[in-house]
Amino acid sequence: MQPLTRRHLLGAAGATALAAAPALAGASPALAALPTPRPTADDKGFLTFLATGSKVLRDLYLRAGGTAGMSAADRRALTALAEARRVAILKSTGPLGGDAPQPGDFDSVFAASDLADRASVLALAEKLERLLCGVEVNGAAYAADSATRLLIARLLSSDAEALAVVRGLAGKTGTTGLLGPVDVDAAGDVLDAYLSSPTAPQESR
Amino acid sequence: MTRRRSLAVALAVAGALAAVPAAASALTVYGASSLRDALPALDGSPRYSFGGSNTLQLQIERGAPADLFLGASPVEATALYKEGLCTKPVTYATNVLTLIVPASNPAGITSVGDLRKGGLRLSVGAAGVPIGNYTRTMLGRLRLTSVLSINKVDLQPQVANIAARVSLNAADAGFVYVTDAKLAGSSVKQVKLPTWAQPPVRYEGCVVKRNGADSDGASAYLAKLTGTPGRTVLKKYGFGLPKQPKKK
Repeated sequence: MQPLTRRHLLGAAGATALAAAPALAGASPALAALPTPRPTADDKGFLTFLATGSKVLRDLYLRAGGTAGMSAADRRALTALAEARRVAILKSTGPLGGDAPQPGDFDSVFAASDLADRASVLALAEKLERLLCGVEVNGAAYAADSATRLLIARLLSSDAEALAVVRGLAGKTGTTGLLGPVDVDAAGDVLDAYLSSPTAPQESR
Repeated sequence: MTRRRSLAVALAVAGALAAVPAAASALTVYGASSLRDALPALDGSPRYSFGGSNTLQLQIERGAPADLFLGASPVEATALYKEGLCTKPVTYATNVLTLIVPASNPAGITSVGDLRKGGLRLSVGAAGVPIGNYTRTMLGRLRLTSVLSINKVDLQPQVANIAARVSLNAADAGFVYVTDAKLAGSSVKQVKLPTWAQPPVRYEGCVVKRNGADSDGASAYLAKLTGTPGRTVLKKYGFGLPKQPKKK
């Protein structure tokens, strides 16, 4: 049997490294399986808020198509924004399971002035998109479950794009700057103005 | 289930069974505690037993002589249905949660966020009771589950007890349905909870299947409750109403 020398060991190590290099180069971290969010009770607050806020925005985009002054290009953009919101609802309600808000739980309510013209629609859209992004910045930092934080960060990356699109439609620069975190309590007060519960007791609506 | 709870249920069932001959002809309705005033206003003739929906469910599973079960959530009626102990559940009312404080509001609570202060006497439904489950869902949505650990919490088996404790100033605040706040009248003040965080509160009921049950009477009562007479009474007592199925 041949004695094992230092040269043999180095040679074997180099060959192994070369053989492994192509495999490693092809394994992008982005292709790794995403972890399944397991939100804690309080993490569910972020996801519930995002799902409900996304529903309000989706309803706004769907209704805004008929607003005076919207061009065909505007309507295409609104359709794309509504579709992005549909996906956001699915992504945020999935981990909530049985605790997820259901389609009939809330109706979106907008004042006539919110839908009066193109400028008012886009102003409200920017306000709500910015609100959701703020809650996502908060959630990406403070959700307890790491996989939930990752999901919220991914939603933020998508929603920041939507915010940029809305700003672009309004003739503003697409860049949004550094978005700050928004507390769920404060954000809830804003969102409540656009919600009603269709089957709730009359006095509490 | 704890021994104490088993004993309590056994005693309740035994009591209910012993009471049967005295009122054998009367329809027996097991109703959620929050319905304690509305149901007798709809129909005074049945024999009513009010309590936490989960306790009533357990009593029916142990053979208690109920003809009709009217719970405060879909969970209990669905469980009985799956066990073959009742008919397919029907939604007959809705509700929303509210935070109540004594009229004098000694703790100065003006929003649910004030519960973060800690050290308050808080009355909450026990886990497993519909009001307790709804409260926990709402607190999670508001990212406020910590209020259950930083305050002095008393856990109640039914919502009526929570309203009573707050009314009597034995608690600084409590989570109840708006209908209970309405029944408590001027002895309490309401602190509105955010709409977006409200869990859907749906009351579901079903006709109990057991030997000797008055199924026809129970079906007739349920039809009355979901029809115009019941909807009128439920609305008067502050309940929400489910959408009526479209007539074909």
